[in-house]
Amino acid sequence: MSRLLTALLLLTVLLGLGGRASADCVDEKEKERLIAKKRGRRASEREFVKQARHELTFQGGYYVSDLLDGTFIVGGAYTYHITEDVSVEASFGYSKVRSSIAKRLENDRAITVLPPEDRVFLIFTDLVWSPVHGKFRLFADSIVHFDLYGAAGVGVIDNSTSFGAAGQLGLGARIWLSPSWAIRIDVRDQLYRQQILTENQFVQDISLTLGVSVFLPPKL
Amino acid sequence: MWLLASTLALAAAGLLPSLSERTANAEESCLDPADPLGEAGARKGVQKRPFLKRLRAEISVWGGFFASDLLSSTYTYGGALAFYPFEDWGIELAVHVSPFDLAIEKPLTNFFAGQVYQKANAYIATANVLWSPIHFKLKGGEKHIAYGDVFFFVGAGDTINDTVQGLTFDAGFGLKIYPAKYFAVRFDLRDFVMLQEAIAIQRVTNNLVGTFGISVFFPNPRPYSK
Repeated sequence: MSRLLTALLLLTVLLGLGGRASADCVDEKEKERLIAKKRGRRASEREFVKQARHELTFQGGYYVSDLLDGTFIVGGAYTYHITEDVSVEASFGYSKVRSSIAKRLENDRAITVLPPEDRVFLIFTDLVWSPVHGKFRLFADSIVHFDLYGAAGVGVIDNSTSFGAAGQLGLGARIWLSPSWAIRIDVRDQLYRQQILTENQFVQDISLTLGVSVFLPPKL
Repeated sequence: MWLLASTLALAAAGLLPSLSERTANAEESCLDPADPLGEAGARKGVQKRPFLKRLRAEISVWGGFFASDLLSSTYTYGGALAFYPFEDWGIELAVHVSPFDLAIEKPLTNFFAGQVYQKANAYIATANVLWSPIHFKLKGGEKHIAYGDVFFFVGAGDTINDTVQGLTFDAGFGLKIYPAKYFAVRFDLRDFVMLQEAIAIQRVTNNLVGTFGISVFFPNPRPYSK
């Protein structure tokens, strides 16, 4: 009986050793497939794909007019991502500008400095380049992905003091919440000519906006 | 007899299949720790920061735009000196210099004699608390990986200019990218809140300031002792 037990013990030990010896070995073809998959995940494939997708953004923020007072801005943008790095964007913004200084000057000198119409429409088309994709760790174990991008474009600033045509430069960051949703932070510098009374001058208005984007199609 | 029975049981229960498996494994390779699928290729998870700020000082110079709420938008330049007692927390003394002008008044000077507003430089000095809770890595192209921080700051100080009264407060956020052990490229966006007066208009203004700059860190990084 004791011999039977000894034999069974020997069997268990041998089986255990045999299994362990082959645990770290892998089939060559399977190994190549796993390495290729791993390489692909880290270098070429992105978790958040933009190429050939449409992005709709709703945004609002602070608009600082060069000659006039700082005020609000609300608007939206449509972006088509031609590649992962390059996209084209059409944007629209609405604001109301006024100047407390102009109002005081008007009262003091009994003249009209600014026309009564104070609404501003900003319509732009931009070329957007997002060469940088990054990620950071938020709290214990959530990884957040983001893009940094630059934008340049032309458009129209429709206002009673504006000459119309305008150029725009900007920087922004897109923080991904999911493959379909993102938060955007944009800083834009609008350059155009503005006329107050008989004086024409180039002005630079700066806007800082926070927006929410949805990507279409939502599922790839 | 018992020995023979045991041997037969061994063979039947799996030792022989195990041996045949060893024959099949002749075409397989065993993983080396340096193999991409071995320990070296395992997901690394949370790693040590490659750029350390703790117990280091930082000197920055910058330039950018000053989008003034009450006056005209203009440029700005300046710099900062910071010290990081902890990896995520630091203190900073910052200086901004901007020419304050009132361009909207210019058309009126063509109509009326005299000028009310005198253009003058503003010197804004603030002390800030820096908080860098987010450390990121980013990819530019297929091979280039860089590291950086997102930081937030808040502080107060003084503005030396005739249009500004009382304290100046600032708050904002920025990005720093570390291309080397001693250098950083930074982008800051801040809101200067100050009580300003021009042409007898007095109000609290929010001035948006964006700067792009470079930083030098010294001395050498201080790694954490275990």
